[in-house]
Amino acid sequence: MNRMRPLLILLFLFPLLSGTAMAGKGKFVVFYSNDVHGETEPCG
Amino acid sequence: MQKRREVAAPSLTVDGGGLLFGETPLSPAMAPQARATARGIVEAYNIMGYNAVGVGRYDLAGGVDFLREMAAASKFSWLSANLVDRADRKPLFAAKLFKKAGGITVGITGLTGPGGPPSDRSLLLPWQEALPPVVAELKKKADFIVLLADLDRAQIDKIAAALPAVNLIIQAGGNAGDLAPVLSHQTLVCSTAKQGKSLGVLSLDWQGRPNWGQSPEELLLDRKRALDQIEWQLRRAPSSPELRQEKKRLAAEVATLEASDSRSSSFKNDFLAMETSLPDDLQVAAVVGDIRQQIQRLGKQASHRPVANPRPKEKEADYVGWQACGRCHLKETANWQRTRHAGSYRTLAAKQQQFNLNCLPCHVTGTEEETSAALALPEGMLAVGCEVCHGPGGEHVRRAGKVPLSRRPLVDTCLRCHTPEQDDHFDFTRDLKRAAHPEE
Repeated sequence: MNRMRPLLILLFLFPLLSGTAMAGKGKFVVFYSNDVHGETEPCG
Repeated sequence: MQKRREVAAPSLTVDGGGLLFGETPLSPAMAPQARATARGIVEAYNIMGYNAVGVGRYDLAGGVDFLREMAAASKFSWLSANLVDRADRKPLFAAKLFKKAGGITVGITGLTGPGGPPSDRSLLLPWQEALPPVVAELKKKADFIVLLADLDRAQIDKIAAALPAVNLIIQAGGNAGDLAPVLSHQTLVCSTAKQGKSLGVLSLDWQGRPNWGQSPEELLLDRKRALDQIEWQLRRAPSSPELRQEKKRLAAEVATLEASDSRSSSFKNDFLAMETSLPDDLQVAAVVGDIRQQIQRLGKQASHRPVANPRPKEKEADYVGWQACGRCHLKETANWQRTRHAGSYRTLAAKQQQFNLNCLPCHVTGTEEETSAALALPEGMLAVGCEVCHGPGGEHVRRAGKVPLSRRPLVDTCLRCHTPEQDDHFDFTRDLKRAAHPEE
């Protein structure tokens, strides 16, 4: 059992280390903008 | 706003940064107008339901304290993982935010770029130091990580390589036009045109891993279309073994796709042109109208005050106004009066923008800087007149034409105002012909 401990720890930690294995799935929309630069309307 | 209401899927709305102020340093003359505009923009973003905005370098143009005042008035989070207090090295703004979008927990952080106004109060840490611990914190809870980054593309690519847990980067300070999403390593990078000309709409089908591929729905549709075409051809040539073989292959592919459960993460992106002169939301339109009125009021007040930094007398004398040119150059002046340059100030006045120091320098003669001097110009300067193209005419007039002026404007003269942001269709050779006098 002691010899298996590192493997068990690795199996437990793997999802955290990989960062993606536990990630949820789904559909969503990101609305985005950038560099508005204080513009609110065209000059003329 | 309308499009956002139409989207049935869960959504979040973010801004990469560079929201409040332009790229030029905030002069004392510009400051009151720019701050009034910044307050209005925050109000509009509150109405539009933004969730987070990255602290861009130019957002600090009004000072750290002003931006913190804006953050206090914001219903959304201002994010920067690397802008810290010089004294205790603690973040001056929130470093991260978690937001639910449907069944997904999205972690959001921000990075401020270098090159902003110097400050005794703040210190900018390199992203290599500030970002990894924040991303590590986000990874504990988030299914998807978004970075709002005011950085150039080279830095963005380095971040994507070093921190693959960052799934999406909204880049500020990068380019003039809309940039279709690109993959940098496994990270999607997006940005829109400057000056609020468009809103990006990124529809994501996140499968938990950044194995980006074609949307399964699009792929299925594509294969079904191909199958329809083959069936149409088979009706004309029913005995063709090649067509029958192809139909069999496509039908099997469609069946596999319809039954398939192993899917790639996919995305679809659109850019919505933002018609800022006519916002589709009444509340936002009211905010924009209020900003315009404040600018008018501030401009009128400034135009009655003595100019803080008047131009040197000798420089002031250099410009004479278009009427003085017209005394000798009758035909050229008559021709100029038919151009849009002649009516440039009137178009501002028609939109109640004639006191807007952001607009004025490109609609008048004799000022190349955004100073309050532009508010107190004589009538002959209230147009893009002869001297904008040919240079100041004072000496030329006083010496009865013996001092020649430039006959043809340099491209840089035109590009001062016809920037990609203001005039993305500008073509120097073509458009010079429109502005030039017929005999030239």
